Amino acid sequence: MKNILFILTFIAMLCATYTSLVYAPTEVVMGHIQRIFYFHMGTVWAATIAFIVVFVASIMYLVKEKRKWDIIAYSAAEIGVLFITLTIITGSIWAKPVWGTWWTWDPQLTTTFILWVLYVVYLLLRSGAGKGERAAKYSSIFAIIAFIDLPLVYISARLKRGISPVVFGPGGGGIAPEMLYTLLVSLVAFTLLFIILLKQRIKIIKMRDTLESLKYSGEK
Amino acid sequence: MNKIAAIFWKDIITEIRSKEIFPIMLIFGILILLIFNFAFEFRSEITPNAISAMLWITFIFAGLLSLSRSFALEKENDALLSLVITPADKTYIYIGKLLSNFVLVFLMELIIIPVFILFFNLDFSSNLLSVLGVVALGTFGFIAIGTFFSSMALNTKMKELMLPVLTFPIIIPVIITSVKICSSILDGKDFSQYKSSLQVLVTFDIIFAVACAVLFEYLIEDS
Amino acid sequence: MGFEIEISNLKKNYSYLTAISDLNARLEKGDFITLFGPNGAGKSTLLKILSTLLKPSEGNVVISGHDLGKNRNEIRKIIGFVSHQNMLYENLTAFENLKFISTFYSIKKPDEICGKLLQDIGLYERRSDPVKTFSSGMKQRLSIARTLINNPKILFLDEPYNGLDQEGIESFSSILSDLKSKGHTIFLTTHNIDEGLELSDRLMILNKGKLVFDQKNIYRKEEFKEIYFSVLKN
Repeated sequence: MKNILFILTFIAMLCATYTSLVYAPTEVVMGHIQRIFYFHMGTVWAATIAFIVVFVASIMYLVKEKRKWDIIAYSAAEIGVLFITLTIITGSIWAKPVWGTWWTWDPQLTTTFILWVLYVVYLLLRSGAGKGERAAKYSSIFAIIAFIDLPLVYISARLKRGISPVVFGPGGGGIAPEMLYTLLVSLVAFTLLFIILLKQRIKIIKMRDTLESLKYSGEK
Repeated sequence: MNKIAAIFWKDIITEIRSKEIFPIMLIFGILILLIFNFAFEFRSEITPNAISAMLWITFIFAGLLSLSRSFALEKENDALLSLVITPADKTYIYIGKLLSNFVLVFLMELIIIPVFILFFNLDFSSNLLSVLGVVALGTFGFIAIGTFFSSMALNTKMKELMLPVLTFPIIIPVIITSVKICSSILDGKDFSQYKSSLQVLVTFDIIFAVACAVLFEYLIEDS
Repeated sequence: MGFEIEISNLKKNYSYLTAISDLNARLEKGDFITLFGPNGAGKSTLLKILSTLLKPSEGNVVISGHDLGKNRNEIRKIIGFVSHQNMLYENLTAFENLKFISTFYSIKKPDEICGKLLQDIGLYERRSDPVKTFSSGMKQRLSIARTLINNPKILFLDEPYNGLDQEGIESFSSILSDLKSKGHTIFLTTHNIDEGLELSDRLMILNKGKLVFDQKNIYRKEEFKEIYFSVLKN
C-alpha cells in the first residue's frame, strides 16, 4: 500500500513534468517562462492543503488533547512552510521577466508573504514553548488565530492597493484546454506529494517519540 | 460584569500606585518620535501616509512595552493562579485585562499625538476627532491580540522576546487598515470615501476580540 | 462510607517524563494529611492535579462526590489552594487583595467576610497597607486568608512553610491547627519532616512519582524520620 502511493506519486510527478514542459502549448505573450506556473500553482495548492490540515488538526487537538493531532498539525505546518517557500521562489522567477520585478506588494503576494511569516512564527513558537503539552496547546491556538487572520490580511491588502492582475482562473479569459489539463495533472501530483511527505513526517515524529520514551525509561 | 470591573480596577490602581508601566511607555513613544524626526529631514513635505505610518509604528512599539509588563505583573507571586482556580469564567479575565491595557495605551496615544503635531509642525485641528476615533478602533484590535499573546509569550522560553514575533504578523490587517484610514482623513478626504474601510476595521476588531475571548480559556488553564 | 478525596490509578506524564505513576488513595473527611517527599518527587504535580490546576494524563479523582474530569468548577467552589508562592498582588492592600478575589467567587457581603478573615489571621490593623510592605510570614497568612474566602471544605497547601522564618512557621502552624479544629480537610506537602508532623492525622511519602508510604500518624518524630529515610533508600 505504502509503495503504491510512492509509485503513484512518482508517476504523477513525471507526468506533471512532461505535460508542463512539453505537452502544454507555449503561452503567446509570456513565452516559455509561463510553464513554471504549473509548478507554482502546484506548490501553492499543496501549501493551502497543508495549512487547512494544520487548522483542522489544531482544533482537534484543543478539543481532544491527543498527541496524534499535534503531530499531524506540526508535520503539516513544516511541509506547508516548505511549499509556500517554493511558491514564493517560483513566483518570483516568473514575475521577473513578466512583470519586470521580483516582487510587488499586491494583495495576493502580500497575503502569501504574511502566510509564510505566520507559519514560520508557528514553528518558532513550537520550539520556544518547550516540550510536551504546553507547546502543543500554544501552537494549536496560534495556528487557529493565524488561519482566521489570513482572509483579513487579504481584505486589508486589497483595501490598500488596487486589485492584482488575474493571470489564471475565471477572470483570465479563455485558456487552452491543454493548459487546463496540464494544471490539473500538476495539482494531482502535488497533492500526492503532500500526502506522502506528511505520512513520512508523521512517521518520523512518532519514531522520535518512541525513541525518547525508551531513553527516559532507560534512565529510571 | 463586576468581575471584569474588578480586573480593570485592579490593573488601573496598580498602575496608579506603582507608576511602573505608563511613564516608560510614554518616554519610549516620544523617543521613537524623536528618532523619526532626526531620520527624516523633510520637515516641510511629509505625506499624510508617512504621518499615519509613523504614528502607528510609535503606538505599536510603545504599546508592546506595556503589554508585556501587564501579564508579567500577573505572573509575579503566581497571582494569576489564584484567579484561575476560582470557579469564575476565565473570559472575564481576558476582557478585564483587554480593557485596562486599552485604556493605558490609548492614554499614551492621547499624549503622543500632540507631541507628534508639535515635533512635525502639523495642523490636525480640523480632523483631530476623527483621527482619535480611528486610533481608538485600531488600538482596540491591536490590544485584543496583544493582550492574548502576552499571556502566551510569558510562558515560553523567550518570554518578552516572543511577544512582538507573535503579535506583529497577526495584527497586520488592523494596522494596514488603520494607517490607510488615518491617511485618508489627513488627506482631507470625505467620510464616504473611507466609510467602507472603517466598517472593515470594526469587523476586524470584533473578529479578533471574539476569537481571543473564546480561546483564552484554553490558553490559561493547565499551564 | 464515602471518602472526601478518591484518587484512582492517577498518572501524569510531562512529555516523556513520568511525574506520577499509578497512584491510588482514599482520604477521609476532616483529616489533616501530610505528604512528604524529596524535591522532584511529584508532590507539587499531585497537588496541582487535585486542586484542578493540571489535568491528569490517566486515571481519575473524585473530590466530595464531584468528578475532576467533568465537574471542575464544582470542585473549585469547595477547595482552596496555597503554595509557597503567595499569589498576592503586591500593590494592592491586604483588604483589597481579599476583596478582589471575593468577586470571582461571587460572594455576598464581601466587606464583612474580608474583615473577619483579616481579624482571624491577625492582620486587621494592617488591612490598608500595601502587601509589598509585609513580611513573608504576614504574606503567607494573608495567602491563607485569601484561600479561605469561599470557606472551602478542603485546603491544599503546597510547601507552605518555604521561605518562612521561625516566627512565621509558628503563627502559620497555629492557623492551621485552628482550621483543622473547624473541620476543614487539609492536604499539605512538604520536603521537610520537621514540619507539620504533630498536626497530621495521616502521613504519606511520595518518591519518584510513587506513593511509597501511607499510614495513620502514630509516630514520634524520631521514629518517622527513620521510616522516611529507610523508605527513600529503597
